[in-house]
Amino acid sequence: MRPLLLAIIASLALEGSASATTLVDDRVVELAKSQQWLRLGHWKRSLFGGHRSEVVGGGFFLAPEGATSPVSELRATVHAMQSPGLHQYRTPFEMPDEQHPLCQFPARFEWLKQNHLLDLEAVRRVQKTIDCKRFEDFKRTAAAKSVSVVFSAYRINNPSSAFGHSLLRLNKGTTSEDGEHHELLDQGINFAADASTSNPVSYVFNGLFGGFKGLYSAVPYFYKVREYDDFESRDLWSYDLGLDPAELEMLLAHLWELGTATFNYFYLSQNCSYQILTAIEAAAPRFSITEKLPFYVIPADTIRQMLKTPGLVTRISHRASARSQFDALASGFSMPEMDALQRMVIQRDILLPPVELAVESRARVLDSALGFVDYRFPKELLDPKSEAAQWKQELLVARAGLGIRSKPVEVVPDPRSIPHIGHESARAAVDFGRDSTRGNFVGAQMRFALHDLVDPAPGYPAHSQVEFFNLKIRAYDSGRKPEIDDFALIRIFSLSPLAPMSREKSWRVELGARTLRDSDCDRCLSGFFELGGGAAVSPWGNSGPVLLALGELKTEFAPSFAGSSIRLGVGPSLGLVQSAGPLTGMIRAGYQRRVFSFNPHALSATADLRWNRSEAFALGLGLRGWINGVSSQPLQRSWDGTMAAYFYF
Amino acid sequence: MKKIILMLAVVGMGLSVAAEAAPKAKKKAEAAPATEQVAPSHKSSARKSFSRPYGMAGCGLGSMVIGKRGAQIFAATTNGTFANQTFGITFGTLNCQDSPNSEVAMRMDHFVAANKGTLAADIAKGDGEAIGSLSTIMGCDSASTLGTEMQKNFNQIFPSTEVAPNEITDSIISVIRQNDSLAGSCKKVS
Repeated sequence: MRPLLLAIIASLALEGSASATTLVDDRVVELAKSQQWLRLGHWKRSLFGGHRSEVVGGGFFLAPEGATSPVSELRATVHAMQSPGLHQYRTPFEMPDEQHPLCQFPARFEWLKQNHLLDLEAVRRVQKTIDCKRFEDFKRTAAAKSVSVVFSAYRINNPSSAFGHSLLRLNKGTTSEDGEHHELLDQGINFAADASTSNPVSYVFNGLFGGFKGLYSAVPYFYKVREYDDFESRDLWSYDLGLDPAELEMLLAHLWELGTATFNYFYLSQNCSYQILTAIEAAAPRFSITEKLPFYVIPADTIRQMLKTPGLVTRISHRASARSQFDALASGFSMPEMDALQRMVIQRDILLPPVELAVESRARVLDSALGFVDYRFPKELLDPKSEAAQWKQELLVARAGLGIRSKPVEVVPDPRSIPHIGHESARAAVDFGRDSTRGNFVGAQMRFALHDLVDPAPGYPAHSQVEFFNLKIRAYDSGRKPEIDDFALIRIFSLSPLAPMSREKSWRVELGARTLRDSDCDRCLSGFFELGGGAAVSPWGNSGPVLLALGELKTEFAPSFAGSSIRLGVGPSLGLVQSAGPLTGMIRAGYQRRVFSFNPHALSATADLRWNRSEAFALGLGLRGWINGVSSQPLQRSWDGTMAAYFYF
Repeated sequence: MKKIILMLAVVGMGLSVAAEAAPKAKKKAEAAPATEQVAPSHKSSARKSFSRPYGMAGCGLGSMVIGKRGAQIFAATTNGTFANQTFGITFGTLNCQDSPNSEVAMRMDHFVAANKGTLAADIAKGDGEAIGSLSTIMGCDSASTLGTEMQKNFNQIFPSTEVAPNEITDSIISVIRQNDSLAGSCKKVS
């Protein structure tokens, strides 16, 4: 690196007259402040003035201080593109590599040309000696006529997917579904963490504080389809971008540049969704998307932000997961078809549909049985010797033997699963109410993300709650200063009503801190970790109430507990959730048998009613009650009631 | 108070991401030997095998797919990827480009390896996206004729669950060459 810098200085000193050099350098200094140059180098204004690039490694910079100096990097780039020397660097995988800067930085080259910073005669002399075959091959393989941002919808039973994921797809057709274009043959561009640890604690720290490297990779799109659609039952949504041909060319060139860049991966801020937007912005400077995002980035927010950016998204399309296709196919079945399917895949008392059924019916039943095996046993199917794989093979042979063609399954997406129509991720609330022992209070609530069971339903998977950082504070008439009433760092609740074809469990997990109301530690703040597992049913169909029963385990921790600083509780809970138009209500009640506690028996109940006025505003009523008991003493009872106004933003 | 929140913060993120950590780490471990795994996966077949420019060594993608029973490809979750030199950042260094020659067989191998399950189902049904994609790779005029003909020959193409991707490719090309109208239609393999 250092010799390169010396070479630049030397060349600046020697080439041409002193005044001409100064003139060019003035232009360099001026243009280094331009928006597109700053975006191409991913420089952000740093806290202490100056700039710092989000790129932290790889061979992305030509100047030694390029990461912090857009001017030096621009000078070095101008020089290197007019000189024959190759740029030697280490790839993000620490492999030695070399390319000529004209080949490694085709987007910078285009931008420099447009801004007349290059001596084109000198560049032509260099171009005669080099061959940018790798970049040309990349472009030829992608054969991109358009580009889409692809969002994989949430999958609640996989909490790590709860926030969704996004990637880029380089389309071989001008839209994502035109004519003979098959998106399975498209190129995907994925930004992801190179998570190289098996230790969960280290994984957490690294994920939160940027300890992992973030890398771009080019992946055939069909891998992503198989991974998300088939393996994880996640629908994929494509948002075609309205880039003109020059911007598309620039995006391909810039993605190529990013192939040699290493970022720090921050799970909650500089993540996949954020980074692919910065790449789009660098290629098409007329769009400004990321500056309107908060400091933490939820993938679905980036999609909504894209849709709010005029002209950015031209078309939206949906790819149903294996699971969605199965549901759509089976929902149109006649009674005999449904009966045959259930006997084949649930009771397993027949292998093939009965021959009394018409051949078209048998084909449909076999198709859906195949779909069932696919979504139910994705892991087992990877092993060709597994029972699931053998079963599928028998179904396949039988289906092929029928000799008729199946029509493609039409899947109408459930509005609850459309990611871009949902309420915003962040929620704030003001509330007031009365507590039975402490009197009136006013409170405030703030939640970073994402959705609870009584929030406005559109755009979020049904019966699913994922919350991250939900803080409720209160100031009582009787108290002096505000106190934390409840804080959930993570709160996940997944309800999966049992159905003939679905035997998924319902479960919840919560981690946080809350103010207790019992004699172990009255009004003290206690950390908690709660787990629950059980089942839910919706006996009156999809629009009727969902009833649930869980077994729960609660661990609470407070240094000021009278006995040991930890207490444990175990017991059952029951609940009910029901929606009616804009109103959603939920009731839950549970009993806990506690150990390490002076309150061995505890009953608690909560009721919430929410009136969702719009995607941005809701009113709520809440009631909570607690009964704690010791055998020899009277029961302690307490309750509180709250009215709240919720704002989503 | 601060201590509690900090502690909770750490454990909480652990929860939200720990589910990902284990499979990913496993992938990382499996990624390296993937290249060596490619040879056994390309079974020699009694039938004529169509030539591939890479011989048995394979290019990055093929070896990724077939390594360790193909599991690592699919074990990826939300925000993770597997760090593999043959697959990751080295845009354009895979020996896999569009060109109308014997590389078609290689492209088919890659496609079949990753889409085997879907392709099998589509062929059994005589129609589907995987057939459409293969039809495009092979330059066929009609995906529907291709679908019908492959459905008739399902047992030849997928004789067992353990059939290797290159065997599937070879069988598909054989089926096309056995059929006069398809042989004329699928220009890149006839």
